[in-house]
Order: sequence, then C-alpha cells, then structure tokens
Amino acid sequence: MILLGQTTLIAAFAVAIYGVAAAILGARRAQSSLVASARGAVFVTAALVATSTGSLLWLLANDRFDVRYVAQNSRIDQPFVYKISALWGGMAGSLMLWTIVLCGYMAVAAWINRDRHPELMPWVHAVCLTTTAFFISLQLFAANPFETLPFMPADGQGMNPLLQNPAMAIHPPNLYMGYVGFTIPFAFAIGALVSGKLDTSWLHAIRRWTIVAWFFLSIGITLGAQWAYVELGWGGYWGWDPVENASFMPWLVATAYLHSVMIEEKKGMLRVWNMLMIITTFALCIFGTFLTRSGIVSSVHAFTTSTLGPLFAGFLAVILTVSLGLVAYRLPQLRSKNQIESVLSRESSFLFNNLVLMVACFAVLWGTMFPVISEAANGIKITVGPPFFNRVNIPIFLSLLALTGIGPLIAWRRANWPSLRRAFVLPGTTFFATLVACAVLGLGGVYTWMSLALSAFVVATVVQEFWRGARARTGSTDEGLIMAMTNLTRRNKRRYGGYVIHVGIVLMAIGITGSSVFQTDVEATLRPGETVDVGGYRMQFEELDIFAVDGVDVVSASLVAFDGTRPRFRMVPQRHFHPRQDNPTTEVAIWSGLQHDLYVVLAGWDNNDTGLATFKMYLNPLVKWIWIGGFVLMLGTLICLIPDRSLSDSGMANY
Amino acid sequence: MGLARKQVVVVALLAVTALGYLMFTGMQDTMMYYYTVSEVLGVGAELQDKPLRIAGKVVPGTIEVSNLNHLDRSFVIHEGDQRIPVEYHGVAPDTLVDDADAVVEGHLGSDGIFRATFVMAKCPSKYEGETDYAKYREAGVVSPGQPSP
Repeated sequence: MILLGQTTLIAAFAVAIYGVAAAILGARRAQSSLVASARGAVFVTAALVATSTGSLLWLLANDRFDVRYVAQNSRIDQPFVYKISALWGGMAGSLMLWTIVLCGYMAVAAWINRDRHPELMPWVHAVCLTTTAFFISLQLFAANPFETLPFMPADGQGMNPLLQNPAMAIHPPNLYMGYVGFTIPFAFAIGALVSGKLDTSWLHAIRRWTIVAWFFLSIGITLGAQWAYVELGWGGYWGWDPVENASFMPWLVATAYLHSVMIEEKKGMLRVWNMLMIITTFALCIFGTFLTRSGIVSSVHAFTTSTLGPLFAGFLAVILTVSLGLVAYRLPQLRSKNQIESVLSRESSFLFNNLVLMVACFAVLWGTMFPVISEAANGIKITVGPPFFNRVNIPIFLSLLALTGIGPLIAWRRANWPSLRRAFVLPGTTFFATLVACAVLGLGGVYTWMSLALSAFVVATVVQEFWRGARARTGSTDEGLIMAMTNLTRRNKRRYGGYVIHVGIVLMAIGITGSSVFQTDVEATLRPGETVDVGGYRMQFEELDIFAVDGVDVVSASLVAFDGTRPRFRMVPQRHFHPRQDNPTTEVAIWSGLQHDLYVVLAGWDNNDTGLATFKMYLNPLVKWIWIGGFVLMLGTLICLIPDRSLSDSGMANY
Repeated sequence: MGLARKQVVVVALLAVTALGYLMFTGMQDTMMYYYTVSEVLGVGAELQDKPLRIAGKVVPGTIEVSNLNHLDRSFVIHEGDQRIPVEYHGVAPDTLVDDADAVVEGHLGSDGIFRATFVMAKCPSKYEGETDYAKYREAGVVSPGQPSP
C-alpha cells in the first residue's frame, strides 16, 4: 500500500507534466487531438492522486505506524473519524488534501466544459495541472506522506488532541475547498488572457465556480472561528492570528470580485480590475497555504518551520509575474466600454464597496506581515496585535455595512433625487430610530450604536427590496405575497440570494458587536458548595471528579447554574490528559442561548484534599447569532447556486 | 476625465487617506517590539516598561502555579543560557509545558521579572517537529527489531 501510494503519486506528477506540455502545444498548434490528450491527462492525474490519497487513508485506518506520517498523527485508540481526519492533521497529509481537492475540481471543470470554450480550455488544463504538479512536487521532495520509519512502532503518537474536534474534522476540508476552488477561476482568467478571448464568456464560465469557492471559504472561516471558540478556551472566536488572517484575506478580495463582476457583466466596465481581483484572490490562497507552513510568522496553529517556504515563495513569484505580465500585455484589449456616469449610482457604490474591501484586505495583510516588513526594513521585529486590527477594521467594516445597505437602494447609471428619497425613507428612518434608541439606552459607545443602527438599516433595505419586488408582482399577477416573493427570488436568484447573504452578514455583525463589546468575565476559586455570580447567573460548584475514558484521563468539575433560586442547567468543564501527549487539553463547558453564551473553563485544582478548584467564566452575549448568521449566509449562497432550468440553455442563467 | 469620474476619484482618495490615518495611529498605539530572550538581555534597561513581546523556550521544571487560585503562575524562559523569569496571571494555554516554545507579551519590570499579559506556547514535539523515537523505544512503545511488513 505504501508502494502503491508512492508510485501513483510519482505517476500523477509525470502525467500532470505531460498534460501541461500537451495542452500548451495543442493550443499553440491548434491541434485538437493534443488538447483532448491534455484533457485525458487531467482525468488520469485525478485518478492517480485519488488512488494515492486512498492509500494514505488505508494506511491511517489500518494503524500502519511504520509510515512516519501515520505514526505522528494517529494511534490505535484514536476514534475512527479522527484516524481519517488525520489525513489533514499534519503537513504532508494536508498538502495531499489540497492536491486531491484540486484534482476533483479540475476534473469536474474539464468534464463540464468538454465541449465548451475551446479557446480557453487548453490553458485551463495547463494552469490546473501546473498547480497540481507543484503541490505533488512538494510532497515528493519536501514533505512526503509515505516516508517510512526503519522500524514498526507498536503505537503512534496520536493526533494533536486540539484537532480532535468535530469542527476541526470538517473545517480544513471546507477551507481547502474554498482556497483550492479559486484555482479554476484563476485558470480561466489566464486562459482568457493568453488566448485573447476576453469577452464575457470566461466570466460566465467561472460564475458558479467563484460562488462555490466563496461558499466553502465562508463555511471554512466560520467553522474555524467555532473551533477556536470551543477548543482553545480563551472565551473568544477570532484572535487575528496570522492563520485566521490568511483565510480572511482571500475571502475579502473574492467578496469584492463577486460584486464588481456584476458591473462588468452589465456595463463592460472594471475589466482590468476584475482580472486583478481573480489573480489576487488566487495568489492570496496560495499565500495563505504558504503562511501556515513557512514559519515566517509565529502563530498558535502554524505548522513548524520547514523547507517548503522557498518553494512556495518561488511558485507565488511565478504566478504573480506571469499573470501580471499577461494583464499588462492585454491592457489595450481590456479597456472599459463604458464610463461611470455619476457618483450617485449603483456602479460607484459597488466601486466603493470594492475599495473598502481591498483596503480591509490590505490592512489585514499589513498587520500580519508587519513583523517581517519591519525586520526587513530596519532589522527590528515589531508586531501589532489584535488592538491594531480592531482599531483599523471596525471603522472599515462599519462603512462596508453602510454600503451594503446603500448599494441596493441606488439606481444603475445615475440616481435622481425623488427616487432616492423614496428608496431611503424607510431604511433611513430605521437607521436613525435605532441609533437614537441605542444612544438613549446607553448601549456601549458610538461604534456600537453605529453597528446596530447600520445593521437595522441593511435589514430594512432587504425587507423593502423583497416587499417592493413582491408588490410589483402581486399587482400584475394573481399571486399571493409569499408566492410572489418566492417567484421573485426564483426569477433573479443572484440578486435575492445576495440579499439573504446580506442578512446573514448583518446577523454576524450583531453577534460580533454584542460579544466583543458586552463580554464580561469572572475568575473564581471555589470549594465544593460555594457560589460565584456571573452576568445574572449564580454558579454553584458541586464537585471535582477524576476518571478515565478510552485511555484518556479526565478531570471534571460540575457546576449548577441558578437563575435566581431556580437551578437552570449543569455545566461540566474538564481537563483531558491524552496518552503520549505532552500537554493536557482544556474542554470548556458552554451553555448557549440566543441572548448569551455562558462559557466556563476549569483553570486549575488542588491535588490534595482541599477540593479547591479555579474557574474562569465568561458571559458572551449574542455569540450564537454569529453561527446563525453563518447558516443564513450559506442559505443565501445556495439560493444563488440553484440552477435555472428554463433559462440555462440560452446562457442567460439567472442573472 | 468626466465629472463623475473625478468625484469618484476624490471619494476614493478620501477613503484611502482615512485608512492611512487609521493605520498610522493604530500602529503607533499598538506596536510592540518582538525580541528573543538574548536580544532583550542584550539591549537591557531601556526596554523596561515598554510593551514587549519575547520569544523563548520554557526551562523545564520552572513552571510554578499558585495553590491559592491556580491562575498566578511563574516560569522561566531561556535562549541558550540566557534566562528571563516570567509572571503571568490568567488561564495559561494548555501547551505551556516544559520545553515549549513560548511567546510572552507584557512589560519587563526594573526587577528583571517580565510581567506577561498574554502567553502563547507551542508544544515541543507537536506538529511536524522532530519526534524523538529513541524516547519511545525506551518507554517500550516501540519494538525496534520488528521488520516493516
């Protein structure tokens, strides 16, 4: 099985290289047989990588500890799911996951477009296969998942217990589906640039791909936040850690692209800009993958320093040089067909939205890379922490929230005052009413008021949009209101799906505002029977228990939360001692409600008989809204993705 | 350039200027020197009471936790034979163990003790680091002679 995995990986590398050559030659000489052969190479590479990945999974499932990767990331007692998820628990395996996801995507892209886009496809194959070959070469030369040990350990070291969590089992695959997914749009962009077929056909070809990739990236980021919240035990979900930032940056740029591409489709404007967005998104995805593996910035969950750094840097340099060179070369053909007509127009509001998103991305990049930049500039390493990111990003995201509300209200081309006034009455009133209400209630500071008022503003816009659209239908047809709204959404899925996504973002914004502004915490050292108050609850410590489950030693404290005199629920924070791991893991207890989460950490205890235990407890308001917002966002994205049967053949599908 | 374009450019420039200002002031208020243990001891007294981030390794056996509240703890970080004692109040990360790579943020007092407000640690053998299989062998977890099938 080791041999099979290794051989198929090497073969995949060879086939991918062949495919690149065949695709390029085929395109240049216009030989369709060569292009067909390149397409064949795509499928063969995918099959070979799938076999190789299958072999590694088999080795993991069967406790083959003579494979170094298995010995480091699995052990006999490890639950089966985590034996499988160990595939992405370490460096070599995570690269393999990247490769197999890419192979899946490129095979699907090659299949769907087998009879379409003849000018673009050879280059799409070439770019996808080059990227695949690069990732395989990392595994062959730097982090080989099939490297064997000279002896057969009786048991493995086991996966880092922090990673043994349901969110962590599905977070990396989602994140990778997102990261890797942007390879396809990038490949089409390069195809359009090289072939000179720069009409909107490549935009149509990647429309779904970008939404799908964005969908998975969003889920990946949300799950990552959830994992941090549940597993890391510091009471928060986002710490502006380099690794988190690495996934957030491509998300910001991709979000910008998803908006600005609408302007290109409708008006033929921003063509260079959109091209740059796609290239930047892909480059940031590669950069993010690299950042987590290079050791150039210290992070809580980075892999250790490795030889991969220079390889990634080289690949990134090639991507940027080639694609920016191509954009420069095609610049004359990429001129806009139209110009912005008024600063008060949908176009310019989208443009500002793009600007703000890019600015946010730049600020995050700057903060993340500052230690490296300052060291290169004057030899002194200087870091900026979460306070920097919060200070810079809060105003940025508030203006983004404002634009989210304003955008849909402004007409295309040029807005006139009467229509503006009509569009803004309800949302504007909602905004000011909420602002005043927050100020009167004294909720936090100005930022808090703005955040909540702007959230209300966006929701009001969305409601108004649905209402108006539905009313227009009920006027002209005999549909009821609900029916009209459903049909409205069906007729224009991207627009109304987009509005649903906006609501999801607002829910997240409310959750983030609530939990960051109004979080309270308390530390307490208690004897059994003693109580402590936290945010309206009285927590009574019952007892400390020590037992073993599945080879894991558990120290467990139980507390009862009283609401007044009435016992409401029990909380059991624990500390787990995994065999053959150097450190214990904290298992926080979380009671989650719509209003707030109660979050309890067992910080320490006496080993003698005093029975003393110390807790850190947090009351995190509205955290659940973030996760609910995530679901709404998913729902909205799915609406955008529903295929449009009747219109799909005409190439006008749902836009 | 049309009027509309000029207006758009002006708004964009305003936005970028605002960001520049935000980033500049943000940097000034939150930046923090990032040194290793020996760099700190090399620079010396002038770093006292400035926000500082230090990277080092936890000296085995130096982690002491208060029995009164389990939240006050002290440990020593080192780089080679250079050492800095650290005090920290709060829930420490699980990964703060002997020999862990630690990054501490806080202030260096005039008594030479570093008072940390934030501690980050990475476990010695975890992730892809070199695994000490000899240790396994001694512990009997590994059977050395066994041929790999």
